[in-house]
Amino acid sequence: MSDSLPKYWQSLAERAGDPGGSAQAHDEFAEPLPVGVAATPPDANSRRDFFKLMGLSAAAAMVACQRAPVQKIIPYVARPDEVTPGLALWYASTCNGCSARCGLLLKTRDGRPIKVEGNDEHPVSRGGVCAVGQASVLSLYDASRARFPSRAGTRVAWTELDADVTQALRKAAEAGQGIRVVLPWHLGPTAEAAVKRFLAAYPTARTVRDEPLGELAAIAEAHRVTHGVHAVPDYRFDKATVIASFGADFLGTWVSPVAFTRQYTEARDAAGQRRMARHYQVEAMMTLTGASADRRFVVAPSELPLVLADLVRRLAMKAGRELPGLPTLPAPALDEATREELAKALWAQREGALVVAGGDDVATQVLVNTANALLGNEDRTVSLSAGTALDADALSLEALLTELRAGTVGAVLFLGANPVYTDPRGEELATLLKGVPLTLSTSDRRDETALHVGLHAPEPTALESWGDAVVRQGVVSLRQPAVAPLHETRSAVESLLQWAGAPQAHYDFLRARWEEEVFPQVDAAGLGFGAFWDDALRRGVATLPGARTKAPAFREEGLAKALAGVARPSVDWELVLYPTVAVRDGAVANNGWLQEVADPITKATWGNPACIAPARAEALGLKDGDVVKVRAGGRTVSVPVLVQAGTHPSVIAVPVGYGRTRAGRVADGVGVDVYPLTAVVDGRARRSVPGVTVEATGEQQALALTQTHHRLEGRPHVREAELAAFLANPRAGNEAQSGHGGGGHSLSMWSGHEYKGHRWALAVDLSACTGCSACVVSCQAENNIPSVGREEVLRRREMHWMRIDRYYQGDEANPQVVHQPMMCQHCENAPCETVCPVLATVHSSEGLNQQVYNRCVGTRYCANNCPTKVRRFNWFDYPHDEPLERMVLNPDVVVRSRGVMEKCSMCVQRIQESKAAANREGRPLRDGDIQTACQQSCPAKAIHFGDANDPDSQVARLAKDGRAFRLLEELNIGSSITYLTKIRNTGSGSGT
Amino acid sequence: MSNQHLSPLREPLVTEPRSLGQLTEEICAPMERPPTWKWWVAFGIAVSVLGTGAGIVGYQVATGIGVWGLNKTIGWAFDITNFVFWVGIGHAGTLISAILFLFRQKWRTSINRAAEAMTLFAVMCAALFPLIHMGRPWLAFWVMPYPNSRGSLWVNFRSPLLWDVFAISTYFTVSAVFWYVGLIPDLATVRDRAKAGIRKAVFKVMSLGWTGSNRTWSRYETVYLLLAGLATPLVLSVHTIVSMDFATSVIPGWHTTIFPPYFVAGAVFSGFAMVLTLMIITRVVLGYEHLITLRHLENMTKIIIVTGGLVSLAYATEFFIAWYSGNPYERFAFMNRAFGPYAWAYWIMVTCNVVSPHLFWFKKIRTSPAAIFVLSLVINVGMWFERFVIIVTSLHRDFLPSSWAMYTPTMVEVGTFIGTFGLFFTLFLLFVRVLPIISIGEVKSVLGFARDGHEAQPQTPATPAAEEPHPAAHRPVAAVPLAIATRKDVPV
Repeated sequence: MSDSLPKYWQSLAERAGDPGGSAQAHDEFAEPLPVGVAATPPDANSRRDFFKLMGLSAAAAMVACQRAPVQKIIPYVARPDEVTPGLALWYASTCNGCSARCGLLLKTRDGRPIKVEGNDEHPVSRGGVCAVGQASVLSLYDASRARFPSRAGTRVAWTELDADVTQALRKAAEAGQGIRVVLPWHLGPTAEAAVKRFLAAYPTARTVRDEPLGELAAIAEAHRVTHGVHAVPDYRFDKATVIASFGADFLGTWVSPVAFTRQYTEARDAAGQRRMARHYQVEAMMTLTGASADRRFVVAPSELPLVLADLVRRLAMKAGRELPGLPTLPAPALDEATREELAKALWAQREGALVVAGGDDVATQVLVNTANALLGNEDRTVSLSAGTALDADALSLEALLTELRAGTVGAVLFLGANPVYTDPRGEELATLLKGVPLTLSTSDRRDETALHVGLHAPEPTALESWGDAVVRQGVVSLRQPAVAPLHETRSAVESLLQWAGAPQAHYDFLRARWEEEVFPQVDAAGLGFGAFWDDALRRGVATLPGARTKAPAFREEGLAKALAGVARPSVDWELVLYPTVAVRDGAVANNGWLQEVADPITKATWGNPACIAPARAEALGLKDGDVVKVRAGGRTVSVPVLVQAGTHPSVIAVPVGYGRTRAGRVADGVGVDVYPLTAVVDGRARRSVPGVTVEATGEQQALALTQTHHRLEGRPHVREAELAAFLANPRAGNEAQSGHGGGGHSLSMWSGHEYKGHRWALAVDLSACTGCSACVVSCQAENNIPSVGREEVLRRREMHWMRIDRYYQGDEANPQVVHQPMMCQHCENAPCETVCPVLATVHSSEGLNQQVYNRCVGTRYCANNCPTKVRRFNWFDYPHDEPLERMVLNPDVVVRSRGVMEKCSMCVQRIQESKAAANREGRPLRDGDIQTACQQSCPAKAIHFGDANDPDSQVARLAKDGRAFRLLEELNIGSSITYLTKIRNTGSGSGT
Repeated sequence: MSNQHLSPLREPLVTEPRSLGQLTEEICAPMERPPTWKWWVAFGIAVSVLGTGAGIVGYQVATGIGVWGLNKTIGWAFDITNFVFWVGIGHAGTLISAILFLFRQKWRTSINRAAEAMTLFAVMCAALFPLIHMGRPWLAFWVMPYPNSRGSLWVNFRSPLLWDVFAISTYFTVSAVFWYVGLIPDLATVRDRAKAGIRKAVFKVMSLGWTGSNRTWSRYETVYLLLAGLATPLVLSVHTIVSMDFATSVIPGWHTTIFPPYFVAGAVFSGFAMVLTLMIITRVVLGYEHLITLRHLENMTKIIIVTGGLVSLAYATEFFIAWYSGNPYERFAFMNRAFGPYAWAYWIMVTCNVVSPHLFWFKKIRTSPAAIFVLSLVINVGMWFERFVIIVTSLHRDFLPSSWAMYTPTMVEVGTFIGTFGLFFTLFLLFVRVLPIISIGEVKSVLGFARDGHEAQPQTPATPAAEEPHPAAHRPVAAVPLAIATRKDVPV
């Protein structure tokens, strides 16, 4: 083998061919070894050969055992221009999770979206994102999505599908048969333009609007009655000084919760503004919003319009107006004094007052409009002129059903609607669809409706497609894709244009429409469209100055007719079907993050237990997990109950969106489908159903709750103060901090840690936190936290690095609620650090308590010794086996294997990234450069991160605030997390 | 150990007259005959349980700790309960062999061998749990401070878990050495009795060339005394350190300074109960009632009364301090123990550990092997529950009520625990077959015959085994087989 190699010489003697030197070179060991070697010929080189042979045979023996699986990799040769491996790119976009249309920033790494964050420049959502928005990135990689267009489940080519559709549409149009497009209310102006073009192409075509929860429809319909416009106004909670909400969960699910949460926080910033809007909540069940209310009244849903009517009557009296047609039924649910107090409080603030109501009842909304009109708060706290108009010509689902029954419909196209699942008439609809020549769905999966249609033309998710939205008059939000469609999907806009005979790419259509319609409204000042467009894309939103139109005046003519339906309250069980903060109407149900994030109130995951009042449960002998049969309108559903404080005794409240059968492998069979229990009144689906029967079955079903103890047991982990007391003394409610057991002096043998550079810390404002749990999902997305499933949550093993503790105090019929985000406290003297035998959890030089995954052997001692129980153990290898779903993982964060402990790292990867960036730019880190995932997405901006060593940082300032307290100071753990006392404005005058 | 002078007034420790040779014959008999069907049955059961346990542990290691019932709030339950339980049981052996030796309690001679063996087997069972309770048991060696290539990575000397590693391994090593040293003269006896063959060869090596000479004996006894002195502090240290796993934490219910003495007392308490359980079976099955006499049993029950009293005092003190400290978390932890969802476990513990030992005040119960046997089991149940109560009730409701949770063991945990009994009894049954379970040399020193007018005999009653390679030559020929034949059928 040495023949082919160049000959190197080791010494001049060897080069000269000195035989002696050469011999020496051959025989490395001049002195003969005592064993054997000396006897071998000098050129045999036997020792080396022996080792070579031994190595070879050992290697051969090992290699022969198993052939490693061949995995071909492909180098990133042709790199797209803007992509730098390892660096994230951010794209501004618009959320499509609900009708609110918040601004997003999509973080992509190496071409794949991995995280959703809020867009700070978006004037409505202002940097917040809710849980649903956060989780949309996981839905992108949902393996249960449809991957190609199909006919009756069999793959077809788009051209074939288009030919089919066009032919059928022509035939229907020629025969004069109706073409019906079923779609939700808010599609965005460009998509609406495509719909219009489609309608124009087929004269018999009409839209049918279907929104599972019916809230927008009721609001718009009420405005048609009272103001003559079919629109949803723009609510401004930030300008309110008193808020009265009648069952509207505006912090959780109602209309635009992220924007409202931010506005609400601003209206109630006691520390900053020295005042606080008082929040009255009148509701039938404990909602997220009710949990934040200062004064909360529990009223049955059927009594709610009566209480509202009573309020309107009192306001009218104060305004000196006669309003004919107000229901005159008494409202016994609330006592006289309370009703008068409410009316007085609203009237005192008048323009600063805001009345809102939830639900799908038009009469209630009419009463709300009347109340707001009496208060004269138009353009202050509620603005119809800045609102968004909804399609006024749309048919209702009932109308569609009538037509279907009559057989006059030739084509039904479902554009992102799933009425077979979400509507109580879904079963009938499914049957009737069989008789329609062309039925088509564009849903992203073969869902319950798509199962009953002939053709399936799947749409990409919002993260893969273009779009836009009007979020408020004059604010147009753009949606740009962060990744090319993963599957063979086509946006509904493109499909509609194709079928309308004017095929155009979605992007071209969008851009052209913006050039023609949006750009002229802009005060461009010499700016070309290209520059405007680029800027709008970059910012994700365009603000149009446009002159504000005057809002149409309030009209009382329609009142009597609209309110005729307000009836006497029902006496027994009333069923309330409500959306949860995470799963909403169920469209996003097939998402592990959303299934696993605990409901902020019930703390239930992976299911939809029915909430009943403690008193009622006791009377019936029901406890958590007892299965009851709920019968409504001839249909029966069995559902486990959950005894929920703050529920009206006659109410049984069940979340919708569960019990799906065709959502995919995550959601199918999780919970119970209660949509069939929805009532249909005058052709409208009503989610509040009086007169249902509830009977115990004697069966039990375990509830996967993440918190089972709800009282604080008098412990000072949460502190609160009444507004008046706080204004008089900023330390109100927080006296324990300076007193005995507080952070005064503590003796220690140790000198403590020294932080020469940064010292990272968090501050959490309990007064701002509403408990919405957006942070929990954000943390999960950022840190590759696995969803563990119902069985594991039942065993209390959810992996969330941060959780929201929720405690009740006072009367269980109507308790006061407090939410406390809880994450690793990054203790100065961390109990976990001392007990780990292998030093797998250590203190960083910047105050972080770090977990070293690959050093951890998993004794769990640290978790036992953690006083806040924030450590999470990998009990199993949580599978990341679905290659598609694995793409959501954040490459900056390790995926933990089984047997190791993990916990909040204060997003150390973000800290490092920002430090590196500052270093590169040669500047010191600024306060606010680093945002943790929880902080970023918090709609209320309740979480602050920063350097406690920097006296000017916000955390350092908050840590010295009178409201600041730390957990368990008597243990001398030295938590790095500052909590700020919760301030309530109940007006009771007493402190805590 | 051989230089004793017994007053004829003293009650003899060996109740039936035996010659030295007879004694040797009796104690060696179980090793030298093929096992009976009873042994096979017992061994079969023990090995099956061990096998099942091993299978369960294998499943758990292959699948993950998730197959246990632990959760994010309760990180230890059955695992560490069993660990402390077994370590506690292991306590009596060293106590009997070392401390009682130093205090010259001659009655220990007939039980120390078995008690020490029990210690070793119990510590083996105990050591299993820290190993398998780890999330990644294959990396368990990381708790050892060894030079490595991971830079400055070292173990955490502040962690009580690390102290545990040292305490348990030291304890096991010293106990094993002590046990083995105690065995040497007897191994020589067995060697000398064995015919040529493997058995002879093995025992020849194991007896380390014992000659039985005066010099050997004198050095041997010095070593034994020194080892006893060395082992004595370990009796206190092991459970002290085990208790520090809890005492040095911040969890209310764990964080108390009383734990070291409390745990040591509890360990002796449970260890003696376990010795009683085993000895009562052994003396009946092997026909050693004259060697392990009622007096032995009575002595041990007295120790149980004392240690049971100490344990009860500790329970009371804990409650008093919880109240007296004014610490609301601690007060709650103890109220929760007694009246919370795990109150049943607490009251089982109190009944077994506080109430039941007092039955031993009655002479009738103290002298009834059946009653002692039952009570010894009751006490061990109680001591298991003590550890369960300490671990689980403290963890399940600590500082933040939001994290409060419940714990229910799974079949895997129960199976693993039962499996350790399989391991324990398998080892014990093998021990009974292959080694003399009573220290021949030591028991001879307390043989009653020394005082029945045999004062003139040389002061070396423990006739060295080496001196009687042919026992038959020195003894009435028929006496030995006859003596055994008159015993109840010796089954082993």
